[in-house]
Amino acid sequence: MLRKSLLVVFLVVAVAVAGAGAAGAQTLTVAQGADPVSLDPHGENDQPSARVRVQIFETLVNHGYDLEIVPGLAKSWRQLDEVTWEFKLQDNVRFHNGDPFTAADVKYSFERIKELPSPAAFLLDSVEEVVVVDAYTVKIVLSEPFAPILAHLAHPSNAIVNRRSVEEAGDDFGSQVAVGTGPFVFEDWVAGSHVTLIRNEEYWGEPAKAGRLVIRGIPENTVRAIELETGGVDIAYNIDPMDELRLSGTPGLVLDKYETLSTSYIGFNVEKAPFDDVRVRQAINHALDVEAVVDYIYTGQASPAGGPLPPLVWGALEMEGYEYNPEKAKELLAEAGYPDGFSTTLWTNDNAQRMQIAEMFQADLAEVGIDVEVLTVPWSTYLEETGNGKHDMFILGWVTVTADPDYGLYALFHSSQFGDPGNRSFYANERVDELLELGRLEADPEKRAAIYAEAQELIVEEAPWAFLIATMEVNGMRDNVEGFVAHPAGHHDLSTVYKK
Amino acid sequence: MTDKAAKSQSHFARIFKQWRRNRRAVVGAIILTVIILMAAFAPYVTKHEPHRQNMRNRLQAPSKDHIFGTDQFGRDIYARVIYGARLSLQVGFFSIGLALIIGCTLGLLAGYYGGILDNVIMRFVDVLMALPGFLLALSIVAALGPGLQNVILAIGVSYIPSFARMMRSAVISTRELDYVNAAKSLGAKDRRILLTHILPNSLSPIIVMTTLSMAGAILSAAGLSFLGMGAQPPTPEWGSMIANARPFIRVSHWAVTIPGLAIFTTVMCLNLVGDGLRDALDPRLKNVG
Amino acid sequence: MWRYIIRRLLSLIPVIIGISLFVFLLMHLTPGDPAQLMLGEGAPAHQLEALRESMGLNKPWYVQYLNWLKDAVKLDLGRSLRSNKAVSAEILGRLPATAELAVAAVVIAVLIGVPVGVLSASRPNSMFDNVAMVGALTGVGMPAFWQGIMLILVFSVTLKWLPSSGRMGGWQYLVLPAITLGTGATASIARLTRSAMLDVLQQDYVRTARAKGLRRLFVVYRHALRNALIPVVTMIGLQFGGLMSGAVLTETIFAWPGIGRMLVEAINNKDFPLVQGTIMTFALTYALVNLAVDLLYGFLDPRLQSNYE
Repeated sequence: MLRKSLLVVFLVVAVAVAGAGAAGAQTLTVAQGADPVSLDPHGENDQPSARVRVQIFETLVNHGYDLEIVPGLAKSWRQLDEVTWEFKLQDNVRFHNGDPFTAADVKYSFERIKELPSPAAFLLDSVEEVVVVDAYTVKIVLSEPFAPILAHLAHPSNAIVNRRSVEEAGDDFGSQVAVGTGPFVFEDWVAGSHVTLIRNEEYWGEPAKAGRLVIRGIPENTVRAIELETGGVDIAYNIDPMDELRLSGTPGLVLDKYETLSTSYIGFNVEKAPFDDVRVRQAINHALDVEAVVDYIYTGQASPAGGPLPPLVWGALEMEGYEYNPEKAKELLAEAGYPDGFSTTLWTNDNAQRMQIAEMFQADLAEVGIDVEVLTVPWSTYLEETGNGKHDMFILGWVTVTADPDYGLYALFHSSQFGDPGNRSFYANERVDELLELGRLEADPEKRAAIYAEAQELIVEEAPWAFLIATMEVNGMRDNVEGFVAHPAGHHDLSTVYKK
Repeated sequence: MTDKAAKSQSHFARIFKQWRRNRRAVVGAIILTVIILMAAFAPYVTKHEPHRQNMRNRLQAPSKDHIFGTDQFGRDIYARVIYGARLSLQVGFFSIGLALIIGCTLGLLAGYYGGILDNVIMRFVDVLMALPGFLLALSIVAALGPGLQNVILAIGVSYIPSFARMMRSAVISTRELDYVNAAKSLGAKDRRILLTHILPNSLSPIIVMTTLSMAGAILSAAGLSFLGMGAQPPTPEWGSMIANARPFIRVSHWAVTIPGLAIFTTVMCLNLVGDGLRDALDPRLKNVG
Repeated sequence: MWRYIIRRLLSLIPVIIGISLFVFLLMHLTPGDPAQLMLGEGAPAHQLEALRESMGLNKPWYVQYLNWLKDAVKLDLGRSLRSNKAVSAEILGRLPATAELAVAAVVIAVLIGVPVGVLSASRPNSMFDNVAMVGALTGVGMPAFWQGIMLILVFSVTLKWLPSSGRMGGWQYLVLPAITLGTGATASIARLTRSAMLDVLQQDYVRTARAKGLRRLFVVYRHALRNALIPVVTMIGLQFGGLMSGAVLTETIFAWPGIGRMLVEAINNKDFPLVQGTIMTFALTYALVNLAVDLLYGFLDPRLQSNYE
C-alpha cells in the first residue's frame, strides 16, 4: 500500500516536472504578413518589424492595453516646468549583453534617432536636449511645450538601444545583432523566413511564458490562414475577412477581433468648387452607404466612423456622424445650387479594398445625381499628387500611431500642414487651428479633452472629409493558446502568451 | 491559275493534309476556334454583363442562371470569362505581334546585311536575352506600372530576342542559296529580295514560334497579374480574375477554378496547334508524330 | 578548353553591363520618390530632402549609374533602401533557398521527364504516349500559381501530409514548392526527350541495330539515349530560365525565402538597389548556367570538341 502510494506520488511529481519542463521549453510560432525589414528600432518604421522589435526592445513608457500611459523603463516621471520632463529609471535592468541600463543609454538612443535620422525621428521633433542627471535619472528638455510627448515616447521606434552593441555590430546591428532589454533575446533571423527569439532568463520584469518564439512572415493571406488551420503556426495575425468567415466555428481555432488605430476617409479638396461649399461636403457624407462597405468589403472587419478619430484614441468622441440619407443629400445639394448634381473625380490608389470602395461609392453618388469618375493612381505617386492638390476627392487612411489626438488631427486639419505633411483636403479654419495648437500645450487632461472635443465637433460639422470607417483586425490562434491580448497598435506583446 | 500558284497551293495542301492527320492538333484548333468565336460574339453568348455587381448574390455556386457561379462581387463568372477571353487573346495576339514585327525586322536586317549592323543588333538582343523572358517582362512592368497595355508591351519586348535570333539564322541559311544570289546578280533591290525570297522561306518556323509564344504570353500575363503587376480590377483578364478571387478560394473555388481552366485550355490548344504545325512543317519529323 | 571558357566569360562582361544599364534606366523611369516611400506619409519636408541628398538621389542618373557600376565591380551592390543592409548580403542570405528549390525542381524534372519521354518515344502513338503527351501539355499550360494553391489545398489542408508554406527545416517543406516549380520543366523535358528520341531512332545505325535483332529496349538505351540526351541537356539549360521566372511566383505562394520573392517585394517597395542587385544576380546565374550547359554539351558530343581551341 505504502509502496503504491509512493509510486503515485512519484508519478505525480514526475508528470508535474515533465510538464513544467515542457512549458519552459515551449516554442510559440506566430505568423504575420511579411518579413521584418530591420530589427533596429531606429530603422525602417514598418509594422512587421515593430512586431518583432517590441519583444526585444523597450521604451521609457508604454501604451497599456487601454492605451493609457504606463511605466516602462522609466518607473516614474514628472513635469518640472512647461518644457522639462524628468524620468526616474528602473535601476535593475540589464541589456541582453550584460551591460546595465542607465540614463546614458537614453541620451545615446534619442541622439542616435535624431542623427541617423530614424524614419520616425519626427516623433522627437519637439525634443531639444536629453540631460543625464544621474545614473538613473534623465531630463528631457523640449523646444516648446508639447503635451503629447509621453505618447510619442511610447512609440516602439523610440526604444532604447545599447551603445556598445550598436557600435560593435556596426552594419550588422538590426540584422545579425539586436540587443535590447526586453523579455526576449534575439537568437537568429533567417532572411525571408523567420526570426527566432528566446526567453530572457534575466528579465527585470515578469519573465516571458514561452521559452522560444518563432515569428514567420507568410505573405499570402490564404496560406497564412491555412498554416493556422493545419497547426503549422499557433497564432496568425491579420486574418483576411474571407478567411475569417471560413475559419469561424472551426474546431480548435479561436478568432480574436480587435479595434485598431487606423481610419479610412474620403478627403475633399475644399479649395476647389463645388467642395468649397460645406453643404456639398455634408451632402456627400449623407449620400454614402458606409454600412454596405463595412458589410460587403470589410465583412465586418471595420466599424462606421462618426468622426475623424478612431474610437480608441485618447479623447476621441463617440459621434453619431452623418446618417445614410440620400434624400437629405439631394436637399443639401439643391440648397447649394446643384439640384442636378455635378461631375467630379474620386481618386484612389491601386489598393484592392479602396478600389472596391470607390466602385461602391460611385454607385451611391450616382443616386444623388453626382457623376463620379474613379481614377486609380499607383501608390508610388499617390501621396505626391494628392499632396499637390490635383484631386477633387481621394480615399486615404491614417494611423494614429501614438493614440493621441494631436497625432490624429494636427497634421490632417491644421492649415500649416497643407499638402504633403498631411492636410490633403487643404482645410483651413481659424478656430480649429487654434484648438489644435492649444491641445499641444495644455497639460491638464480634462481641459485638453475638452479642447479636442470641440475640435472634433467642428471638424465633423465642417466635413472636410467624408468620414468612413475605423478598421478592425482579426488574429487567429489555436485554442490551446492562452494569455494573448491584442494591442490596438498591432504590435502585440507575446511575453504573456503560452500554450496549455 | 499560274503554275507557281498551283504549286504553292499543293504545297500548302500537303501541309494541311499532314497537319490534319494529327488528331490532337485538330482538336486543339477546333476548341481554339470556339473560344475565339465566343470571345468575338460575347454579347450574344451571354446575357450577363461582366462588370455588373450584385453584392447580395456573391460567391454563388453554379446554377441555372449563373452557369459558372458568381464571384466576390456577385458578377457572373461565365460572362467574365467570355469577355476575359477577349483580353487574354488580345494580350497574346498584340504582344507576340509586337515581338514578331520588331524581332523579325531586326533579325532580317542583321542576317542580311551582316557586319556592324549585325553586331549592334545582336549585342542588343544579347542584352535582352540576358534575363529569362518573364523576369524581363517583370522588370519592364515594374518600371512602367501595372495595366493591360504595359503588360502587352513588356511581354512583347521579352519575346523580341527569340524572334530576332530565329529570323537571323533563317536569313543566313537562305542568303547564300542559288536563287537569292541569282536575284542579286539580276540587280534586284535588297528590300525586294528580303520580302519576296527570304521572308517566305522562313515562314514555317515563324508560324510555329508565333503559335507557341502566344501560349507563353498568355501565361506570363496571368503570372504578372498574380503578382499584382498585370491587368487591374475590375478588368476581367483571366490572370487578374484568379489573383483577385484567391482570398475566396476556400469559400467558393469557382471564381479561381474557372478562369484557371480557361487559361489552361487556351494555352494547351495553342500548344497543340503549334506542335501540329511544327510536325507538319518540319519534313524531318513528317512520318513520325 | 580553358581558353574557350575564359573567352566565353569575357564575352559576358558587355552583356552584363548592358543589362545593368537597361535595368538601371528602367528603375529611373519608375514614378515615385524612394525617399517619400521610405519615410511614409507625414514625414516633414526637410527630412525628405536630407534623405534624398544622403542617398544620392539628387544627382543626374548617369552619375548615379557610374557610381553604382564602380562599386559593383568591387562586389558592392549598395544598400537596400528599406533595411539599410548591404544588397550583396541580402542576396547571399536568400540565394541558398532559391538554389535548393531550383535544384530540386531540376531533379524532379529530369527523373520524371526523361523516362516518360523515352517510354513515349519507344511506343509512339500508344496509349501511354498519348496520355503522357497530353499530361505534358497540361503541365506546360498550367499557371504555376494556380497549381500551387491547388496543391496546398489537396496535400496540406485535406490530406495533411505536407506543410503549406515556409522553409522551416526538413525535406517536407521542399516537396510542394519543388513540384510546383518543376512541373513546367518536367513537361518540356518529357516532350523534348520524346522528339529527340524519335529523331535518333530514325537514324541508320539504330535501324541497323534493330535489324540485327537486338532487343528493342537495349537498342533504345544503349544507342539512342546518349545521343538524344544532347538536346535534352541544352533544354535543361533553357528551362533554367523558366525555373528562375517560376521561382518568383512559387516563392511568393509558398512563402519560400528565396531571391524571387525578394525581387517582388523589392519592386513593390521601390527598393531600387535591391531590385537592381537581384536582377543582376539572376542574369549572372542564367549566363553561368548556360555556359556550363554549353561545356557539358561539348563533353557529351565529342564531335563538337574540335570547336574548342
